[in-house]
Amino acid sequence: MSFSVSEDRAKLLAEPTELDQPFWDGLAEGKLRLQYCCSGFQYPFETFCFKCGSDDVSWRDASGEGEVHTFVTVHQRYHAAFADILPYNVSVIELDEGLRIVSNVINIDTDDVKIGMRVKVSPQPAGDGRYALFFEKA
Amino acid sequence: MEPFKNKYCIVGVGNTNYGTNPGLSQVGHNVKAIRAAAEDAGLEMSEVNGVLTKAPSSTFPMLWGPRVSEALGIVPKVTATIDQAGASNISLVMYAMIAIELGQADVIACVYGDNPRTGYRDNYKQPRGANAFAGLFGAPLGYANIARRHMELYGTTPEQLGNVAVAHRHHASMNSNAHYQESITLDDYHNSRWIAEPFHLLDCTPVSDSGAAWIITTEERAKQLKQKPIYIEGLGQGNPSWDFATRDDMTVSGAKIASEGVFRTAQMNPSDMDFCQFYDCFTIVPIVTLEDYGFVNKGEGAAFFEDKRTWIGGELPINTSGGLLSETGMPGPQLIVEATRQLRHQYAGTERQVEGAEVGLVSQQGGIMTTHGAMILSNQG
Repeated sequence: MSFSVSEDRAKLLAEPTELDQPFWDGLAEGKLRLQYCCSGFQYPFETFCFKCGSDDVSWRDASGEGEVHTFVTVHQRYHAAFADILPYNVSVIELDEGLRIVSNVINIDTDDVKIGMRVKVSPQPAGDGRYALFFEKA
Repeated sequence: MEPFKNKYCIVGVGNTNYGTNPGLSQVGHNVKAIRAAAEDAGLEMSEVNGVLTKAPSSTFPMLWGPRVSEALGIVPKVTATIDQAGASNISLVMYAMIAIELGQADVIACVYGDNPRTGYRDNYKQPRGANAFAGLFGAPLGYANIARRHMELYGTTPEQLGNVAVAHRHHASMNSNAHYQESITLDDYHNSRWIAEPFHLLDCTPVSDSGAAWIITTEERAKQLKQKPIYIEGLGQGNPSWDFATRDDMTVSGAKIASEGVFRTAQMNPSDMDFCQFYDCFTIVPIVTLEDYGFVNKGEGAAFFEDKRTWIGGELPINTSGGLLSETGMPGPQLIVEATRQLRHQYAGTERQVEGAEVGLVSQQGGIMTTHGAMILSNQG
């Protein structure tokens, strides 16, 4: 049950920008690198802090660990790039740092995903030397 | 918050044919609905001097108010389009009351109309931001995530979600303009195909062509018109977060905040409501809404939909025309139209009428429980 990102799906991956390049660099190193300011980690990324408004936002590696906060198993064919992997899991992951990120738990039968299940970041190659964000059971 | 200083009323309501309606354009649904509402009120089109719109979801055009006004053959003093997605409809009422209060217009038509079923509908399945790569498309997946969390926290069951679908379809079975009128059973619910677990097809609102309008004026003017005035007693709004995933408790909607405003301005309590018309884009939503308005404790919403308690004739009738789940997938205006007709006792003598109804609550919601509008209407003044 080894997971790989299809060519069609890789096309949906957002292009890196000057702003979020550290995030992509982190994934390539197997890490979850996020913005950090007064209130802790921040996602999605911006040029300023959502809490204090400061432009002085830095980057730090998060633990990359957390748990499944909630999830769905998608059966409907919304997009051709997912047609071959139906039904697939979409999960809201609550990181140990408190942030929530929408992602997928991979390398698991969709029926075995549970709320509260411990997961860890598991970046996967997505073509052109790039890596995409996924999680797997910890 | 104090009660409203001056009273404003809904004096006319109108709608187009709901469902599959290939003969009518987007503009057509807006124009026909407003003309029907004006006729209902006994108003000439030239007497309407304000046109407020929610932009059609399928294409989201700019300057929609002037576009609709021109197709109505009128030159209104006031137009505006408000974007809170589904919650806009109640904000149009708020804007209408402000515009009248400030002397800018005195007979204001609020409208929504769109033809996503026979026209363009791709907007409905657009990926949402960075979530596209994760395969999070469209509203059903967001709401299904919320439903799963609610089931985990409170033990809400698939049968209980199904009860909502069955109840609203039961009401639609008495509504000859409903998109889906055939009664369904819990078996039908369970046998409908998966969209995204825990949602079956019958947990989800359909995509429908529809238009509906409601006309607002002063109490004084309302008393000179054809219909029994329906009074706007209370309004409330809540905007908990943009992204459902980041919300502290994703099982709590904007109704929690909106309820404070609506019950305080109306100086009423949940127990004063004779019926509710709840935004029900997915089965989990009326369950959460009932909880967040305080009709029941958090986590007890699903049980309330058992034993026909929400059917007409039950303890608290909810979505008496079939709602978004069955009457039409239109995002919300049908609920304002239905509340008005119930309070006029327009269905008197039929099983559709909520006997003796004097006060009703309407909720509207936008996004993935992103924004919420609440309105209390009465026929008492």
